[in-house]
Amino acid sequence: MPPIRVFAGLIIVAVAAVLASVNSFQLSSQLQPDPWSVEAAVQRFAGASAQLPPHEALGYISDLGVNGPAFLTAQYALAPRLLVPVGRQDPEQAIGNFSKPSDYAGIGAKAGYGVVADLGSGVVLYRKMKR
Amino acid sequence: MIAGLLLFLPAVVIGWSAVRIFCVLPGRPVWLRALLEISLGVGVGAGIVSVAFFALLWAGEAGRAAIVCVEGVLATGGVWLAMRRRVVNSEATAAAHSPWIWLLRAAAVLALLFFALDVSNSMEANPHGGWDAFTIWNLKAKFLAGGSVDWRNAMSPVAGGTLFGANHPGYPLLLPAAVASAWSMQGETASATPAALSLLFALATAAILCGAIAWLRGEAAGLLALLLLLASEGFVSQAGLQNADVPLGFYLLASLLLLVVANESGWPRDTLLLAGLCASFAAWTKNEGVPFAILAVAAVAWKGGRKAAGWTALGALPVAAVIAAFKFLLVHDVEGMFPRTFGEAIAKATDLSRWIKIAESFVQSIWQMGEPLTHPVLLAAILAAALGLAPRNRMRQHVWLIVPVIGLLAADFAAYLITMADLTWQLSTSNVRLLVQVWPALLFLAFLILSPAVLPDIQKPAPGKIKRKHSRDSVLHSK
Repeated sequence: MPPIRVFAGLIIVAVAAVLASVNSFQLSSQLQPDPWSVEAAVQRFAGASAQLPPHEALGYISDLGVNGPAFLTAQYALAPRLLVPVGRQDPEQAIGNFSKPSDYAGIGAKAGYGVVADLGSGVVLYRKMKR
Repeated sequence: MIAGLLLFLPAVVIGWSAVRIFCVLPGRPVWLRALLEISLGVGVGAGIVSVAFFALLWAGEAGRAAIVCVEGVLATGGVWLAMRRRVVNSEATAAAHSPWIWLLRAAAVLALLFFALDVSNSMEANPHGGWDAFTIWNLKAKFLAGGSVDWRNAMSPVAGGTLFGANHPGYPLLLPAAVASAWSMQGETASATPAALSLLFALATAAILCGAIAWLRGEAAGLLALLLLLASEGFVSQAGLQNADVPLGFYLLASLLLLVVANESGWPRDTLLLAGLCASFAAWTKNEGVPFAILAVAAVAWKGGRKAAGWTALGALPVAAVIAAFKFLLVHDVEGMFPRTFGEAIAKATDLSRWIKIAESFVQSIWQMGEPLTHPVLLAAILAAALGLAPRNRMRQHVWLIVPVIGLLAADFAAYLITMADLTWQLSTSNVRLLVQVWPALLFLAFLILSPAVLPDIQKPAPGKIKRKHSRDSVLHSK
């Protein structure tokens, strides 16, 4: 039997540690599912990923810019292909990532790309137009 | 998840073999030796597989057959060598188990159960990991798994778009390469695979902390160390997020444990080589591992002399060479977060308000490691009050181990001082994770200075008296 001071210390620490674990578990139960919409992006781009060549850089056309989660989740969903904002480089094919219905053809044409397929949910396949 | 775990089985076998070949661990009790060997093997194996896969990629030979072949040879050869190295029982004192040990065992089982449920919730909510996981680590893993055509995209300066702080072409590749190796064998990039590795690293970290303290201070102390780690919300919340911070924490802890083992056993060459290897894996995991590895060698030089430091450095050399080749030959862009001129750095470093802000953030991050009433620092203080501290001369014996950990925190502090990013943003997005990296190591050091003499179990092998039946040389040269 350990001294009472030791025993009290052990009891307090053991109980508190278990309570801390319970608290962590409760916090984890309240986590927002897919907070960055990564899984949603993987689902949205699954069709495009199946149609695109697996090992080529892709142009990136979007109304959401390239400085936020929309670009990063698209890059993750379509990797190992490297997404390159059109204008910097002009790969043969490009992917469109739009937040709302737009004039996809017009936006693509400005960058020199024509629509190949509108896959829905704001995902559009483009190919470089011949000049 | 099961498939993901099985994919890393060869890595664990390779790592276990390496640990058994290179390190003298306690022979008794058997569960303790097995716990330490397997948990150390998780990280050592992941590191070896990572470097091997990266080398295959660079050589243009990272097909599934080549990976299976290399891992198969390493695992088979490793097990063959490991089985030839029998360990004799340590001269442990007689076990005198108090029934009170069951209280701690029950608490540890409960805490582990809630930890598992917590990680499960986290992985369900974030199947692709947290922000850094899907923007850096798992993204790089996908590039590497793309094989000979795409792997150099992992060093691309545009993969993160134009978002400031999202492009890290020079971040080291231990975690991505280990995941990519498994994905290449799997034939798909299943999100459960990096999640499985993340879980393995977290469990192995907890097991090493528990096992190491159990070995050095008795089972009760080991269980208490485990309980304090699992009471650390900061650590637990990171375990399922697939970031590199928990793996880095693993390598810091593993290096310190191996250095303690080496110190207790008279600085054997093999253990020092393994400690150096673990320190170099820290540097191959995150850039923060570089100052740690350098300071670990310096600490060995201080405590064990130049020869011991030389063996440690030699253990780190192969992976250090890989890191140097990676940084100098493959990475052509610099991190945008650091100043480009010395003048810029000096101007930021001499701004007193930045010092204060960073110091405040560190204090706040320590606060965030737990809830007020069950905070691990409070629990450690309660233990210190209940058990007392080790005699001053024994505490002094461990001062050298603090050097690499405090040095790493100092390097982190310095990096914040000169960062070009908005300081508030950078502190808010990274400071807690920096503490998570050193947290297991800090708990390890804290338990080394607690007095375990009055704890309700006395099963402490005498570390200095553990012997192998064969020395390394006799094994290697025997038939």
